[in-house]
Amino acid sequence: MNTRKYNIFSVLATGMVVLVLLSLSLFWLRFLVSVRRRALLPGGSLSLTLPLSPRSWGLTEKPDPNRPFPALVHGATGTAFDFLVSLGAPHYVWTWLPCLPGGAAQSPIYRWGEEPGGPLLYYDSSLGQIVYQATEVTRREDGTSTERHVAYYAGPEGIGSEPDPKHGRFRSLVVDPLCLNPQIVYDRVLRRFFAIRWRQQEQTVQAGPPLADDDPHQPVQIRVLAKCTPLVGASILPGRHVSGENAPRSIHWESYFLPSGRLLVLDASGRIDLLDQQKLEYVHSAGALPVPPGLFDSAGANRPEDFVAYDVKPFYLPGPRGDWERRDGGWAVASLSREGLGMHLSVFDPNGRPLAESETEITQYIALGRGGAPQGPISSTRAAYFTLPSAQVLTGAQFVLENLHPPLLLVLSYLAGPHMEATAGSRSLFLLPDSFIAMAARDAGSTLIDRIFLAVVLGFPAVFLAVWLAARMGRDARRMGLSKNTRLGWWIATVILGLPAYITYRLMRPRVTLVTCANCGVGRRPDQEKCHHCGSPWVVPELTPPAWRVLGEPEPAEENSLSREPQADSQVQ
Amino acid sequence: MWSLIEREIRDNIVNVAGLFIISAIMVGVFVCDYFWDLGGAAVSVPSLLLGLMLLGFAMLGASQMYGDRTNRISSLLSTLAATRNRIFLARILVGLVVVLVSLVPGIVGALASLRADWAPVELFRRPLAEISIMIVLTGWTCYGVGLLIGWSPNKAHRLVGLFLLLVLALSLVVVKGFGPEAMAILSLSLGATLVRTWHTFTSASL
Repeated sequence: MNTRKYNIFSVLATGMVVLVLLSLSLFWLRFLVSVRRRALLPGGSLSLTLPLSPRSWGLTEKPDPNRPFPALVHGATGTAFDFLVSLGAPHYVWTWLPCLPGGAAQSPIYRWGEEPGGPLLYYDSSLGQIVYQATEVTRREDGTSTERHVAYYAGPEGIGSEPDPKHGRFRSLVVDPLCLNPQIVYDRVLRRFFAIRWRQQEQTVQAGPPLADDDPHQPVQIRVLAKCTPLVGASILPGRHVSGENAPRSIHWESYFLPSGRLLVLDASGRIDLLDQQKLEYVHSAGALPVPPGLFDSAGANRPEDFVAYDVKPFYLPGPRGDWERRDGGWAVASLSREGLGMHLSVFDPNGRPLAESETEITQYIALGRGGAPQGPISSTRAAYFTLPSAQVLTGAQFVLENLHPPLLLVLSYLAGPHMEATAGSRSLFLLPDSFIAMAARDAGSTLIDRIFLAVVLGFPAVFLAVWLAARMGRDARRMGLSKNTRLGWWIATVILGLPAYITYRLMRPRVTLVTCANCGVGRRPDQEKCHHCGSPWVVPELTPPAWRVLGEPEPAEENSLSREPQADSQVQ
Repeated sequence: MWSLIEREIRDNIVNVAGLFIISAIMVGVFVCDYFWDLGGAAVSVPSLLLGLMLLGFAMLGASQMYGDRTNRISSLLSTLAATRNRIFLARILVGLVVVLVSLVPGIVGALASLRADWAPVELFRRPLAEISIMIVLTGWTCYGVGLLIGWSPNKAHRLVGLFLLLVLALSLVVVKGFGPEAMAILSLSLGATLVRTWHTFTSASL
């Protein structure tokens, strides 16, 4: 049996188990620190409010006090525990359930009625077509109604009640999850928008003009532009309250169905565009996802995957002549930073021009005798890391926990961090995209040399710990009599992998009690023939043969020569 | 080999029978839900039973290794021309098959119950398959944790270690979810646990 080969397998297996268990433990400790840090924020969450007035839109009509007008744009984040939705298991369920704003990224189901006859809208990858199933109610002249179950199949070339290859195949879809008539979809491979009308009497598929090959547009969301909405939301206040002949009811200014018939499309670059629903063509740019304040400069990081959460809410304004005459008011955009500690709120007008914006800030107070004086606002992210009560303790704890990770994984976090999706940090065991070292890699305000230098400074404790552990391991391995090659292998593994490698060594080292060598006086292993320090064999006096010998015994005499006298004496040495 | 497997089942009949009984209860709950729609109880009761089963898998592994160590079963079997590798293989086969046989009926029952209550089950084929595979992998991992910790001679070490390792192993599912990445990590962890246990078992003195 090749014991060396099997021992290597065992070492690797033990190392894997140690790495996974240690990474899990560190993950939960970091998670607790992040939850505690979010709880430091006033009220445990963030909120912003922007005032609006008709003058914001250049409207000259006098405001009618009897007619409410959207006066405030409000953005708010969830509490610290809402971030549990970012963990792996809840996130997995979230991405597969349809019709959740900002969710259902992987689900091929776009609409799902919980009742047995409810509408069901999904993409059938085997057909390459969108399937709509529902129960249609037909009313007769005599007042009765009939129900029948229907199914329609829509492809880029047409729609029918049976799957037909002539209708073509959709390849890779971005779908409007809200409106069915028409339902706007974009095919990334065909590079064009389609409007599908599912209503019984007007089933059509309208194809928009194809985008040019060099067109930079890459739609990722249509109409409902949101991500992880439990974490951040925008709303327009106050809601209208209508009373009178009809029953009292509330009307909200937010509407994904703008009076102009246009709808918002989010691009992969973070730009928000307006799409003409009739022509299926881009109208113009309508703004962009704003970059919330982070610990480092995050300018330019406004792609959808750079945000933990965002919410875009279009809203309308009342018209000048009547309550029900509406016009496009614009859209409010709330975005949440990667750490979940900074929020940015912006309002754009229907032309995409920014009307107002604000970031979350916390006012610092310096102690003056009995009271305090305001020192000036700082961003909520910096306050949560450095100035709020217990913030520095939590920051130090996070720093220590990150530096207990293997140095190799910290280096990989620096390299991969900028490219990882923002919520991945809540599910990542080995790479740390939310670590300080990954934040330094994303610092847009520094040069490459500065970023590398900062990363070296931030990762130095991890490297120091790994080298120190490697030195301890080397001393112990030399004392235990491991071969030079084995010691070198463990030393390299400990320098690269740090604490997990050291723990693995402690679990796998030979468990023998050393015995004092009679020659050199240092501990030697009893299971080895020679001392691994001085090379001396075992000294066992009772096994050592005596120095004297009896040599040359005379031959025993024959019987006939019994009379012969024996020799006087034998030779003795 | 069959005699080793048979002996292994006989030595741990209490654990094995207990797991099969829990599995039967879980299937019974799903059958009742299929006919009488139990509502929320169809989710809460099987979830509780699944937790008990995962704990049972860990205890099965721990009792196999602990029983071998204290009763010196391997020493006895080694005198009967059975190598330690075969003994360990038989032990692992029994454990893995018991986990599979305990979980699969419950998973099938859950899917049947979902199908009855919930029309578009076919459209969620991929997530349901991934969740089912993850449940089986989690069961095997809990069994592996039991094997790992069962060899320890210290009772306190066994109890505390089993609890901590189980909590950590289950938290892996919470952290990583049910996707291919989680499956890969869980599979590697399971393999590493089995290799480590094998090395500990085969290198220990009889």
